[in-house]
Amino acid sequence: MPSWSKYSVTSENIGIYEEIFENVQIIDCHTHIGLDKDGHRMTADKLVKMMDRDKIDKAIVFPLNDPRNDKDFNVPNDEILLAAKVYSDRFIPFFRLNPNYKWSDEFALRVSQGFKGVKLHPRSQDFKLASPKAMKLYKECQKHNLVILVHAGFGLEEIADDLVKIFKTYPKLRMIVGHAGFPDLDNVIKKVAKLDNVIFDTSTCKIFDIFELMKRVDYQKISYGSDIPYYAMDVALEGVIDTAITLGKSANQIRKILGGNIAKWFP
Amino acid sequence: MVPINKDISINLNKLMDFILPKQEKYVNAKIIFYIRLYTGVMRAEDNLNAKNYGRVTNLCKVVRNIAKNSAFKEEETYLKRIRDIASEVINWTKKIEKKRKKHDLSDAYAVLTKLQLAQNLCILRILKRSEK
Repeated sequence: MPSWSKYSVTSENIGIYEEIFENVQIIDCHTHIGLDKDGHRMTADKLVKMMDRDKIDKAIVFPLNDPRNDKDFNVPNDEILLAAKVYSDRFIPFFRLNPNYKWSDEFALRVSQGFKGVKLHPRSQDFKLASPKAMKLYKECQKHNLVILVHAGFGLEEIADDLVKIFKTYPKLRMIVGHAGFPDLDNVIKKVAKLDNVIFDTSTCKIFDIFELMKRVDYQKISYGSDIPYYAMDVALEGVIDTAITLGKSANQIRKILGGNIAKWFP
Repeated sequence: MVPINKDISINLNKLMDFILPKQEKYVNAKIIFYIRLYTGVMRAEDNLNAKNYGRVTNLCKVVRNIAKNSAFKEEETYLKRIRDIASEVINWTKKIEKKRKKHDLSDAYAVLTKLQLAQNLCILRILKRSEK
């Protein structure tokens, strides 16, 4: 159990932390490895050390916006492959693509290597969520049963309608909405939360947004994420747990949010 | 103005101690302290969005000073993180101003994320208000 959890939010909840951390599998569904144009970096070894410190069992890992290779992401995707081989019991590997460039060869290569999903960043790679180029990629992901994780945080504005269009076109596509779509949270909750095959990750959300998300969305569609190295794994974890406790979620429901919900997608 | 009688003042304090026990007053002071920090970080975020980098620097310096001069020693772990975030943001704004470099959006969003982290730290400490 992390050191911060020894304190309860209110006296009524004393003991719930012990219950939550009893037999829990925590999966961080939003972490990066590699190098970013803005100077941020993270290695697989360092990430695993942080996971050990914060009692995180597994993490979905994918590249940052790598300056060495931002067209097909071949080099950073290779780094993820290597990390996933070294830490096969800790990492769930996703590869990153840029829909604006020819991606079919890189896609085929990574599918054959056993990657579990694709990370897309509409702001960094400068494309619209439901643009024709991106839609082609979603089609392939649905076909190969790959999970898509889209950045839906800073730098985006109205995204709910685009998400609806994607899910209407590809109803079997499984998608993790990165950062829970906080710039357009109200509309995203109204229009997307009831759709099948969608999970909201809580990374870098303000506590108020996590509160709103947990209040209005089925807990089975919410999953813990940190966005390491931009945010802090422990604070992200604490934020999710304390907000859930404040809203009266049970220990079992909180365990699902911490890992159970996303684990279903990666048996 | 009529000076307050010393006896009245003492009795008032006794009454306050009775109504609000010492521990409760301490916890309330801590909540107010974190709200003050939170407000500073929020204002820094607003100014960052408006590209008023000088104001962001000043506000982060204020936040750093408040966190540095806290009377709540048990909060040091969290306050150090808030101070580190404030320092990181100050360094970033200095770099932007010094080089007069083009406003790099991805950099700014990374800084906004750090400020969001500081805000969440404050809120989480308020939620843990029962902690001694």
